Amino acid sequence: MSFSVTIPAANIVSANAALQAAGWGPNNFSVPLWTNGALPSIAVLTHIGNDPGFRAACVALPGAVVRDFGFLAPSLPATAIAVSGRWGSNAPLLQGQVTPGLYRAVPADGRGLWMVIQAFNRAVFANPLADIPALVRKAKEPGAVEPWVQPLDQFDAYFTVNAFTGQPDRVTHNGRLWRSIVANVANVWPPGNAGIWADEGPAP
Amino acid sequence: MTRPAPSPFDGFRLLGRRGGAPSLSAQVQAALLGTPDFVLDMSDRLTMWLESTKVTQVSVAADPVGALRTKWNNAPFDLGQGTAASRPAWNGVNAIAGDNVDKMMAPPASLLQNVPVFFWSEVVKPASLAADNPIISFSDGVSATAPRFRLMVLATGAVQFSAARLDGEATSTLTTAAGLVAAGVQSVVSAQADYAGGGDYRIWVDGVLRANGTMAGVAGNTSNTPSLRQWFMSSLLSGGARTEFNGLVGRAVGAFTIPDATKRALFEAWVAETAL
Repeated sequence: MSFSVTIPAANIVSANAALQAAGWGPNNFSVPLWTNGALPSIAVLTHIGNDPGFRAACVALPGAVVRDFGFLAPSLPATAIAVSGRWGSNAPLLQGQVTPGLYRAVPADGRGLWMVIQAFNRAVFANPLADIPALVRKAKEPGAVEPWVQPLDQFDAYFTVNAFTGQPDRVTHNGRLWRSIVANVANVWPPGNAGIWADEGPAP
Repeated sequence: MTRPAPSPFDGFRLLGRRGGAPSLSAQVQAALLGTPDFVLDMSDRLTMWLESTKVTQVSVAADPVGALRTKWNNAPFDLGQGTAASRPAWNGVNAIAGDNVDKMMAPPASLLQNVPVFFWSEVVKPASLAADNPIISFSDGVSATAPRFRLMVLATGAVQFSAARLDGEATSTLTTAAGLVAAGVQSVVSAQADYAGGGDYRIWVDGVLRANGTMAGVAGNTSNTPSLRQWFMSSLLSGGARTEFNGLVGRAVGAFTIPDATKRALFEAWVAETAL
């Protein structure tokens, strides 16, 4: 039978390492789910086949919740509903009346994922999304390289060790690609600050 | 152990095999004889293993597929998936299933390196058209998102084929009319790119030519570099987003020569021989 497994996003690096060490390959948890913040709070894996050994290995992971489904049943939507979360591909477009949760910006707003903090009508609050931080925050997609947006606090900051990928966050800014290098603190400074960001050359 | 006594019908049985029409499989094998090819047969469980290390062959429906081996003629290629959660599942009959989340397999990176032409035909049955359904995708050797050969069913039900010859060259893209492929319905999707010839590239859906054109760039083999990303049932799209096939994919024939119409029809008949 198919199954899904959810773990706290903070556990993803250790969970993937444990599964890999047990012979199940790298990066089994690869899908981020957002619940109520700019950073994904839950990591998910979905398995559509019958693999009792792998399922048992997942059950043993700290914080893991295993949900069973029928063969080939689409388990990710049901899992997202069960944890009151959304993932990037099923986030609705950020237009019209919106309520708290993850949304995709329309092309005119530059696409990307945004977390709505409180209900509002986009037709009424038509400012650029970055200008209405009390209503909506830029969501951080693990591993994605996107234009830098000024973080307000640690909840939408950049990190030198991303909790989801275990790798440094990268952004584009002023035509350059930047990698976060500041240690042990949430990175809320703009690229260009020495010791905070490393310049990796022209933006792709 | 005692050998059973010969039956008086044995001779007729043998004659019947000799004199009857060869099976579709035998015809495809014969048609590909002597040419490089790439044949996937999910109705042959002996070509699929649970693990990427090919220890145990699949045996029942819902078995995960960690390795898939091409068959016939040439030295076989392996398509592998080392990550347990990303393995497609065998349907127990003739196809493997993806879920539009992360199920995919990786063919060798060198497969479309320095090749003059490539042809691909596959039977597919998307479970949903809510998102794009990639069938096979080889990037170029410089950019993971620039396709050397990418075939996918779009969310509109159109089939899209993107191709480029040399690394860094502009990508050429053909898109058929919408609605040719439907969710829950089996379709045979074929495409070919004549990189070294006149640059002709085209798409057939269920045996009917649906789009064709001429690729941009200078005629010649594809770049002599391994693909940075080569995925079966998955693709990286421009911008870096990844998408996976949602539903069943079955038999496929890949060839490094351009089949004539008769051979193409034979390949398409074989991939669709049994309903998904």
